[in-house]
Amino acid sequence: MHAPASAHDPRFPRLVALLTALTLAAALVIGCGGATTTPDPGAADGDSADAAIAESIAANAERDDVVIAFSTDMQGINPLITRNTSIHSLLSHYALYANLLEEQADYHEGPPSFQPRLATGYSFSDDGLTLTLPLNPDARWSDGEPITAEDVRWTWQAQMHPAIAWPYAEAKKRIRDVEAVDPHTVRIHFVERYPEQLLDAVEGPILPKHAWSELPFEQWRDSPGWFDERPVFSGPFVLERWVPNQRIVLARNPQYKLDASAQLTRVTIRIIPDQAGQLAALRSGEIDVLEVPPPAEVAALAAAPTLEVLSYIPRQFVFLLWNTQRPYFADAAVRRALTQAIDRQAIIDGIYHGRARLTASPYPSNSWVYNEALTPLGYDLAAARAALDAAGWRDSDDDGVRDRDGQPFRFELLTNSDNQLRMDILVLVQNQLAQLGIDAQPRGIEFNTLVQREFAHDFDASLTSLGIATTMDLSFNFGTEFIDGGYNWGSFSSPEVDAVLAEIKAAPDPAAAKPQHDRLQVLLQDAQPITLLYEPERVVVVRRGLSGVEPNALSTFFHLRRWHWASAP
Amino acid sequence: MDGGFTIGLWALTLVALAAIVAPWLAPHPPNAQPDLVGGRLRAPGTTLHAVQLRDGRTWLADAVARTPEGLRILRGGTWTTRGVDEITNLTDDGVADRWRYWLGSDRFSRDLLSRLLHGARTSLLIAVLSIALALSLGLAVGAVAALAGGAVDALLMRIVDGLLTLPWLMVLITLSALVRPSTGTLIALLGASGWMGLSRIVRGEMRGLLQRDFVRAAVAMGAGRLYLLRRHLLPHVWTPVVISVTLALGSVILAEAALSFLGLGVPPTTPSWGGMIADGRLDMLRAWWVTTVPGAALVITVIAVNLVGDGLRDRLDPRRA
Amino acid sequence: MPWAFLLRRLASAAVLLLIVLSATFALIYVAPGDPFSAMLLDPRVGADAVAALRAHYGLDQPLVARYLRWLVTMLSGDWGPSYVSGRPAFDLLREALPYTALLAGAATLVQYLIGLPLGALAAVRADRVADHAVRVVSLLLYAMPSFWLALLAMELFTVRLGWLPTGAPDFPPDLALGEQIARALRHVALPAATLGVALSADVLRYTRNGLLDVLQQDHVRAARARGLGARRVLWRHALPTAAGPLVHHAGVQLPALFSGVLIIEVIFAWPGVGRIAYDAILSRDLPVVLAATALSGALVVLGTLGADLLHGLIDPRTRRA
Repeated sequence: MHAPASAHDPRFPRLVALLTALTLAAALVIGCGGATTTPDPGAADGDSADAAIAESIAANAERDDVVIAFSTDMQGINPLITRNTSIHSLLSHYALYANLLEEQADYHEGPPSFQPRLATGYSFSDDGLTLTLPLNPDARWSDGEPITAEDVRWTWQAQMHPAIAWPYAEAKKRIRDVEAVDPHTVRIHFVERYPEQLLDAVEGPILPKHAWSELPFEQWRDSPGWFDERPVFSGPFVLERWVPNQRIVLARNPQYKLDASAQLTRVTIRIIPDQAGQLAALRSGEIDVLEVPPPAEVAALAAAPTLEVLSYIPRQFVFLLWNTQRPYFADAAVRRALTQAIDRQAIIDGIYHGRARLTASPYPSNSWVYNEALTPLGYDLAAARAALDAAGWRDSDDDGVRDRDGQPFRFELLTNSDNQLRMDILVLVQNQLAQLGIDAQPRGIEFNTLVQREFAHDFDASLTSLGIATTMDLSFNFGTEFIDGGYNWGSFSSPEVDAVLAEIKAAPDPAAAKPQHDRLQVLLQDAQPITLLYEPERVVVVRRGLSGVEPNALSTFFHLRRWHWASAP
Repeated sequence: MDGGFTIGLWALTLVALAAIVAPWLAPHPPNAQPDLVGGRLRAPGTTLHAVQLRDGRTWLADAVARTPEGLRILRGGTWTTRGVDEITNLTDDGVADRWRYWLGSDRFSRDLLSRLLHGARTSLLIAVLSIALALSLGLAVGAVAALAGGAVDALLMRIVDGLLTLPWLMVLITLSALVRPSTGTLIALLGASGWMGLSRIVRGEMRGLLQRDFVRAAVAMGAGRLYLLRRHLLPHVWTPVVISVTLALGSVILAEAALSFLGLGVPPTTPSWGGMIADGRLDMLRAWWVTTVPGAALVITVIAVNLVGDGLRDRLDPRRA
Repeated sequence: MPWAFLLRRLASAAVLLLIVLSATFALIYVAPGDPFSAMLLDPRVGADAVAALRAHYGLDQPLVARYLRWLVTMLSGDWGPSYVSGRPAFDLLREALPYTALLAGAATLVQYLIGLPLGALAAVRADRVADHAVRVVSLLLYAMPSFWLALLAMELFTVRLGWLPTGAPDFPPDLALGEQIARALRHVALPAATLGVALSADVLRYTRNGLLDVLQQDHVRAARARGLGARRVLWRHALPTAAGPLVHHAGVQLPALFSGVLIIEVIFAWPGVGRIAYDAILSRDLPVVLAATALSGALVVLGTLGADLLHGLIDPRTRRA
């Protein structure tokens, strides 16, 4: 045993040398990582790239299953009592259940059309109050029982039951009755005639009465496990296995007769909460499909011979929301100046790596309501400065921040901190507005807190996004009546906008309201209640060889039943 | 002189000095984002051509080539051409300005060296004050519990258990709605949430010491509690305290970034070491320097504090003098 | 006597837990946001349905009524249904607990397998090269955020080498027991190693410093003076004495272990308790938050109690006392 320790050591500098060596070693390890993560674009040129792609397709040609990553788990199989999350949209519309009719993604030319599913067609009565739907006589539940009009009627009763509190019950509010005329004919009676009747009528999947009617509606909410023990489905797939928080295994439904059976025999959904984990799983081949990878990674993923990058324009608009109740955001001229002062192209190039477009409209640019004649306000610092000066916002006390009536142009700019891209945008916007003498103070807060503050109008400005229903109705967002309880969080109020919104609602045929939609977009462009930052592009990465994937604004998993692996080239 | 202590002290002095003179030392403003496309995630030592455009934007170019009509610019991997009248700092063979990243850049094209220097101010201030707070609380509670014993001890330790059991994420979310974020709040939060483990360790150590013969002898000779504390107990808990403080330094600086997630930490634009490390996470596999630069600064500081702490222990410990 | 002590401690622990749970209840009540308002972000979702949901779970009731209702059902052993999925909160945790136990257990094993021998080595070779190396490594591990290690490990072993998978093992029906064990080990290897390495710094430091202190203490010196061999002194006298703070640390560490597990669970897609508690807090899923708090609280209490009891058994000084 040596003598008791003393920290005195003449050779101590060794420690420093060691530290240096270790730091260098650590850096080298990661450095190597960096070198190979980004595939060399040069290597992907010409014949060798084609050969690599062909090889990748051939490697998967024999497969009959696909693995998809999701970040959150499902909550159960009964679609009436689960939350409206993206995984449930996949399960209830494209995998486990079928609706009466299927909404199509043809919103480019006009309002959506509908294709037969459980119903083979539809017809309205002359007064437009009665909708008759003949059911497909071949339709079967996964346990072999026929799907009948009774199921449709009973499903409607469940949808309307207050104890079930189905989130989409609003859609059925103007339906008076659902009548089972005979086992294969359903008649839906409306209280009035209105544009979205068909959409409302077919909202929600049809559920198996014979299997689930034993449990009183009052007990549904508290018994999700009861349904797991009675797995009966009508869609192209059935649930084979569910390991909570881990994986959901779907298998082809042999009883599915609405059209050709699903091509894949098995679809596995892996629950991977973290983006880094999802990317690692994709690159190591554990998963085949990944939605919304970080934009910075897309180029590298696209260059990989084993992967293919698809994209579509979602029904979503991303914007800076100005609380018009605040003195500095009350004036439309100031809001226009803010839009001009924000270099939106720099956000698109710098943060989205080009995977977004400038836009002047909340509507998707490929939808029928989009106003082609509109061009976004340009980036123009000089004009923005002039407008702010004219509105009385000058830096009168020389502290670098503009002010008016003793009030500095200083505000808190919020966003949800779990979204790193949005946090990044705040960093850019802060920097850009600072050049103009506007002090935007970025702050990320937790998602639920942000939502609550927006509904309570308790914020100055926020970076946020909203979805648009396929009805293309913006009244929730900009109508005066939706300041309370709606999404008009910025308390924007304009009689002109309200009038146009009312005209759109009153149109008997949605398609006839196109001129009003165009005018609405012009009015919004002038008033700038929000600053639209860009039109997003939703990226989906799939393994090469996976065919039939047609992601669109309805769902990435639209027609999942037609997905298949390409045969070897 | 004691080598480790000296080195540690020098290192700490340097870090503190850098923090103080950061505004004069930093080559760029910490939030300057000259050009995301041309300047993001550049490796340490990169020098770029800074092309000043007439509309006020700056382009950072890997290479430029002067032509009679203007300038060909290699920016973000692609060549583009700009006319003579579009550029303000044109010279006969390129542009007049350069932009140098000594320690590389992050994904906003911000200079890591400048952020590191400015970040030292934020992070060290927060770390030192919040650790001082946690240390005082931990020592006080631990010592009182050990010396008083009995019901007081039991009560204090149960309170500590209770605080350790609280879901702190929930506490912080609730607080985020009630308090405005500021440096003071941040220090109070980090200090108030960091003392429980230390108090237990202090109590455990002191109770052990109270059983030892030399302490018992002192008690038998009528030594008062304060005397005991000062002469026998505090010097002996120095080791765990030094370890705790050293380790707390790293975790406090990292925790400050975690609090930003809840809107309670420093804002995303204010440079801080914790923020820089957490931020670099996304780019870690593409650009090692983004996390490694602040990470190395943190490691060096932690080691320096540890060396100084060990050195102080050797000086204070009566048996090792 | 020890039984009375144990009973008293357990009783006070139960009271403590009830206080903590009540405090948590109040916290969530005060916290901004509620479990259902985010549903309204879907334009097709009606306000009526959300109001009906809130009524179903009694969120429209006054605080006192809600609290009393929760208290009564909780005392009868029912933690209530999750607001998000409608499933019993307790079942959600019970399903996840084996995964967390596997991960935490394996990580603890790694932690001590690395920390104990290296710490002892450092103490025995105090101030020689081995000691410095060990100390620097431990400080490096401290200052390194666990996501850093996790991401590097995943990049290397999952993506580059393809040796180890991410996520939890899948056990399809009819899988042989041997294959089940093999899969479990393969899947737990990466997260457990990452977490264990990150946590080993703690054990390493405590072992080294504890041993150094002990090696100078009277009874160890006495043992050496009696002519006992170095190895025998180390194993029979020094290590058990140094184990005191270490055991304490192990008890105190339990909550830290569970919060450390969270990041690893998220990055490696491990379906454990940490993730459930975290998601529940972010979605204000009160019943699940309370059940998870109770679970972690029980661990803290048991950890401390176990540490106190073990401390008495191991430390030769208290044994003599």
